[in-house]
Amino acid sequence: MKFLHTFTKGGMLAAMLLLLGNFALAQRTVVGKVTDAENGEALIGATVSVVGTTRGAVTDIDGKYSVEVPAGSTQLRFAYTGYAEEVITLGASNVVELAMKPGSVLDEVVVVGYGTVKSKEVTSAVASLKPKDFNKGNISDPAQLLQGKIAGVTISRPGSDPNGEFTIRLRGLSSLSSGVSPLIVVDGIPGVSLSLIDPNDIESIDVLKDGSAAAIYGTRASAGVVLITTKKGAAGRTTANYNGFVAFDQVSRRYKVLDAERFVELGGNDLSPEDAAGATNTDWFDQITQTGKSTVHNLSLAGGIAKGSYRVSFNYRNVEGILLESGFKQYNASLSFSQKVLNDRLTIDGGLLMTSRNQNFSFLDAFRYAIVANPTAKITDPGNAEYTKYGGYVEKDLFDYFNPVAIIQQNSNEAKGSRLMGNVRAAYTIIPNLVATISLAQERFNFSSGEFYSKQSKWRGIGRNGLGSQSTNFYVSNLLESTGEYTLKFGQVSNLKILGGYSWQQFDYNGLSAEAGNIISNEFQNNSLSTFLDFNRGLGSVNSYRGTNRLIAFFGRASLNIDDTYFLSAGLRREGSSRFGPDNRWGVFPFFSGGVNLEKLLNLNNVEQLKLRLGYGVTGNQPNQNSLYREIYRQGSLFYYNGNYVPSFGPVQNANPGLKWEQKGEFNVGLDFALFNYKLNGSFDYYNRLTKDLIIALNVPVPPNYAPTTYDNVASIRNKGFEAVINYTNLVEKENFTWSPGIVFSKYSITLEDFGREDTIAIADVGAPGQNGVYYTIAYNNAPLGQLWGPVRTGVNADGSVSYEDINGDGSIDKEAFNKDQKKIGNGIPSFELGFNNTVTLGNFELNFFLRGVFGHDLANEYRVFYENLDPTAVTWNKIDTKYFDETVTAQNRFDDTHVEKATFLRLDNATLGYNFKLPSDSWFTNARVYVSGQNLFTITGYTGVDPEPRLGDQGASDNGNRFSTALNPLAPGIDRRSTYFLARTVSLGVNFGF
Amino acid sequence: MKKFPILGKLLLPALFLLTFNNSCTNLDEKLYDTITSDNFLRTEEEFIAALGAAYTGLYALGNHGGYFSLQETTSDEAMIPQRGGDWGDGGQWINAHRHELKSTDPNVNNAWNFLYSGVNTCNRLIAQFTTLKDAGSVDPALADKFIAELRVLRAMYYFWLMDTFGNVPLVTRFDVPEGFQPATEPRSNIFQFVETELNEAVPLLEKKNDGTTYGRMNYYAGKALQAKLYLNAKVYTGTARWADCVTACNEVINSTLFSLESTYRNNFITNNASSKEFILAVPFDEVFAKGFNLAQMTLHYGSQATYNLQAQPWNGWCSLQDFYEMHDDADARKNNFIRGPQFASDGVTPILDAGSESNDPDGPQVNFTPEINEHFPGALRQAGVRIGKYEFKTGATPELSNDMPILRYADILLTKAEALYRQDPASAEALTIVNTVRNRSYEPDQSLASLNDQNLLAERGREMFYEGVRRQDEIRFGVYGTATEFMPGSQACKELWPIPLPQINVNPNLQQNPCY
Repeated sequence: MKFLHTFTKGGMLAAMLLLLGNFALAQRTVVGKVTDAENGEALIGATVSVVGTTRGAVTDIDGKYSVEVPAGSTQLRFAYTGYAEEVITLGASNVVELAMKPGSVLDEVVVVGYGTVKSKEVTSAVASLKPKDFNKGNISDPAQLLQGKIAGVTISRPGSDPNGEFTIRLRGLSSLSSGVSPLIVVDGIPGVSLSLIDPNDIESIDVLKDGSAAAIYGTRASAGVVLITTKKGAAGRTTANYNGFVAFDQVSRRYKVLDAERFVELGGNDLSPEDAAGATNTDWFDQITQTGKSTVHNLSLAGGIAKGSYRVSFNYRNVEGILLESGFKQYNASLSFSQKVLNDRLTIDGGLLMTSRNQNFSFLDAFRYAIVANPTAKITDPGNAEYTKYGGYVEKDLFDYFNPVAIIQQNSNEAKGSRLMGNVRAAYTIIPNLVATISLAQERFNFSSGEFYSKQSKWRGIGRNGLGSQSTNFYVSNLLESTGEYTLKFGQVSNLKILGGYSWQQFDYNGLSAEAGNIISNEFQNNSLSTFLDFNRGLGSVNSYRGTNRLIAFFGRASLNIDDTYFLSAGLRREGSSRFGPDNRWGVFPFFSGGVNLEKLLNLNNVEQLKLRLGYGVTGNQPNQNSLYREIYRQGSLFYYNGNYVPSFGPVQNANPGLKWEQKGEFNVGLDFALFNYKLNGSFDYYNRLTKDLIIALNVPVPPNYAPTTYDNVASIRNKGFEAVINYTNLVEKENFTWSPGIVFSKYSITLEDFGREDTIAIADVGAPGQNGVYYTIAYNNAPLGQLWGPVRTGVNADGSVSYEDINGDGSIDKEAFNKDQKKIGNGIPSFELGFNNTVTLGNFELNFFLRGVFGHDLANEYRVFYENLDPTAVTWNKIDTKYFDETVTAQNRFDDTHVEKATFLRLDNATLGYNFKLPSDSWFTNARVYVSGQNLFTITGYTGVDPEPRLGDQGASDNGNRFSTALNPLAPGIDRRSTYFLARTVSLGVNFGF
Repeated sequence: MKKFPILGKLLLPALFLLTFNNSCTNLDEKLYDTITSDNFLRTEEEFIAALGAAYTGLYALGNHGGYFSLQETTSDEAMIPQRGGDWGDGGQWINAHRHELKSTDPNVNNAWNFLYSGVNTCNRLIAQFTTLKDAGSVDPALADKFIAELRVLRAMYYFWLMDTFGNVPLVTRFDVPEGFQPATEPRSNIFQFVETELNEAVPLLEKKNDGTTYGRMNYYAGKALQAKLYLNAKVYTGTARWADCVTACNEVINSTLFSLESTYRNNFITNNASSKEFILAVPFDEVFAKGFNLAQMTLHYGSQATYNLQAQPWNGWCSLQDFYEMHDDADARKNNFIRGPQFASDGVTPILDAGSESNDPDGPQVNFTPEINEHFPGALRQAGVRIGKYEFKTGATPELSNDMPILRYADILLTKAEALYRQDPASAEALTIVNTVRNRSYEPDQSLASLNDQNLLAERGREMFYEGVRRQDEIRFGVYGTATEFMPGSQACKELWPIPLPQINVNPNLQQNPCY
């Protein structure tokens, strides 16, 4: 209590400080108390500021304040989070008491680039989410908080891999490069990683969706901007919070495959002939899965003294997936502070975020091989000499066939990463209304991973007599930003804000990896690579890389608010990247937006807001790698010269000094509304955007070019879409019972307007076994993206073969040529997406449930493409037994329209039932809550695969232990490759205490 | 300070701005791990490294898919049947063997790209080396030597282009204008170019055959190439050049730098670089020169245990029964094929195929049978004798260390013999040469009494199996279109491959070959 006592003297301290700056002779002290208008309780920590000055005070534990008002000042502004801001004109009295009313959504603060605005001032498509809106349950990635909640933002992670990454796509596709994702800005620091932040520490997430909003971030904003604001301490209140939960993941959907008896009956090869037929019936899927148990603890402490505040938080997560051994352990700590000095003119704030994560990826491939593993095979058969070399695991010398239990148990696949970001920011009020800031930040990331394959493992190990690898990667980004903002106020609420700024950011990265086989003993796993004989024999491999790139920008913005009725914003960012050649390093990204609150002009009944918005903005995208504009030579194979092998080098890429930014011009029109005392509110948005100058690796003729590849700005994509958000607060309101529903709707189309070439190409090879040179999709100019393409099955012949439609009507069937007897057989892009949120309160209970649906997309189900037919030459592999399984088909598998399934689904993404304890006023606790939460409780879909979630990009083909690509090809959506981690249903039990 | 309050307030930000004036717009890229035109081709070592790019392209001859694979599978000596769910691959291997190639088959485009990327690399290096020579930044003697080598290497790529696609564009320089789209030239023009180039450039090459020229074009490689060109001249131009062929062969033979190895197999063992028969070979090595994947391509999955291979093979390639049975049991070259029941490396543990078909009469033990039950789709997994011409070292990686001859002395001997035979079917010299080559593989000798088209083609077939010449030989002997077990017979126009559609799409000046 001592420091609270000191705190009440804050006014005196402030008065003393004032003597050092501008002071007027005739000033007075105004005192008073601030309370909640509804229940009369004192509001602790509300800010009281003297309009037109930098002076102010904060209410104490009794809600009382005392503020020095200089001569000439006539107004006090009262503000408190969650309450409507009020400006009181001073009369003769030196006592001002105020009962504050809860704020409306229009007064909520929305974070935009380099600043905040009130919701009512927003002139572009910006979505803002607070913790009450977030998805609930066992969530360890901040992206998951938003899944389905923001119209136009598709967040997808097929399956429930705890180590899997979410793909975030905003309004369709904005680049043909792989790995394009929105710019993440944490507390004003751009370009940092989402994994720095523990979901528990997030105060709000704002997404800048359209070009006019995002263009202030210029070059990395084409895929949108996600602004994350972390929780901060507030002066006057010291709070501690504990959140904890335990969660259980169970397999939610799986493939049905044949059991041993039926497998043998249908001609399957019995691998345990010594037993009675079907007596050995291994459910491989059960053997590789578990109930994943996760525990999460979060403890935070926040508070403030005098003119400073702080918050510290510690998070521990131990997460297990449904696949044996998969999971991670994560420690996360964050510290933030804010302090006013120099007579309140200078505010210094900063923070430190630290995440360290130990991951066990296990092997996702185990799912794939559990599906095809022979059900008559035992897991191990130690007595059988045939399997001695495999360490007793039952393995067969078949292509693309592995014992899934052995994959997991014999080998390891782990990583350790730690990420650290520190930042400090100083904001200095030079003269009233002119604030200059400078901000410095550094993010560091160390990541080391290692794999080990045992000498006995058929999976990648036995051929190499054991195989181990290690890799280490380092990444550092340094940021310097400076801004100046001048606010010119006129009238009650009208103002003009002018912002100017400079940004400098450099990224440095390097890494080393080594892999070798031929080990002495499994004992050392991959930890003693020097003992691996492959290195002595020249068969080990070592790789290293080092690179750096830099972004520099100047930006400016002017925002005008006329009487809370007309809003205008315009500006530009001029940005340069070291990834472009000297000719075109700099790009200019202008934006403009305006809004008018029609309600103010029309004076409609029951309408609080009816704001029409219009915006246009240009954003850019730089390539995801360095030096694409240069002529590059790369080492090829070694060359035999004069009796020795010497290096050979050849050009792999031509110079293109004119290479420039990819540019997206986006037009957005929107309508925001709030009706019936703000109870019904929402927005509609339509956008039309053309992304042009997309960089692709162009095949160019040799000669005149040295290399067959030049990177050039040639392609363009057009996206159009519509989004709607409607919320109704307390649609039903009875005594002790309320129901507040909300709907999020979005729809978009993607057209590949120009692909940089005239012809049609087939993409996304189906792959081995047997389907190399068979493709899932095609691309050509003016094509809608995501068309699945193939032959159409017309029937099954008596001999078990399949007949196909003569699509071009030439009397003969050429099912292999995309321009002959193939056609569009599906669409990988959804028609629309829908989220339906519901909050129900009943006394102290609160139920929140969120239904999410994605409609109209198809998926090519690759398990069926490969493992459905009773091909007599593939009698050892198990078969997929879905409703499509046709025992009469004995043809070899070949992708056709029957493998493309409608994947529309509606899922109960999460449902949370919480109980808030009513606490006596003298309780040690400020709040106490227990809850139970379920995720993926059910999915309604006709899709027979494990997860009908849209596949936004393609991983490419993989077979026989080769790896899937980690870069997703955005040109081939709609393919459910054999790589999906299976879907889990999660139930969490949690508690939440504040004290 | 009181007098200049604004100045005082601006001092702090002004000081700050001063600290980063210079570098505040600097975007120059610092390179750490990338080699560009700015930092390359400055030393002799780098100059040699640049030449290397012309030769290392040849490593693609050893792997699956593309030029060499098409030369083989379109002939009657090799095929990849569709083994049920495996090797359908959109029909491209079936098309190849049935002489029903499509301009969209990936292999066809791969072959074209392989050949033209060879041509273009030579063109580029000739241009770059000429520029460097003119600028005085390289030893002119070395530059001239390399340029001559590159011309002959380029002639070989054009020879292959003429042999397979026939009518192709002739690009011989690098300083072409932007948007250059070379037009198709008739096959005879290509022939003329190759002939002229060889005449001009081969004399400039080193008349040596040792470690300093191994794996590269020397004088005799150029002459051997010339011999092969004249051997097939009638096919390419309509005019036979038998006498010129003999002359070229004699240059190689009379050099006495080459001789037949005592046993046929010596040419194809691991680390076979010492072979006295190699005139030009691709110097494959499991560490240094990767790309020879024959063990993967042809062996059964289970054969991994026979050779303790480091990776599981793919069970694709095999030879045909008729071709295999052309070898009698006394012929050592019958070992070019792996047949019969297969065992683990201990020689006694049978290799079992858990995926063997119920209709496979041999049951689960892997047994490579000469007979192939059908071409597609249901060829048995174990059907077909496998290509065992090259030794598969125990413990081999997928990258074999056997060098692969492109031009071999025995071929030049048989070429000379054939040229003599064409001029005089009763040529005693021709018969002697053929029997010399043949009897190396027989103990005791089993000489042919006389030569005729059939036994000469068969002898070439046995000697030159899986060296990429069978298709050429069948065409020259006029039997390429004659039906074989899985090839129903084909028109003469199918002797040429289709110009790949992706190439025609980007260059409208290309003309498709007849009957495609």
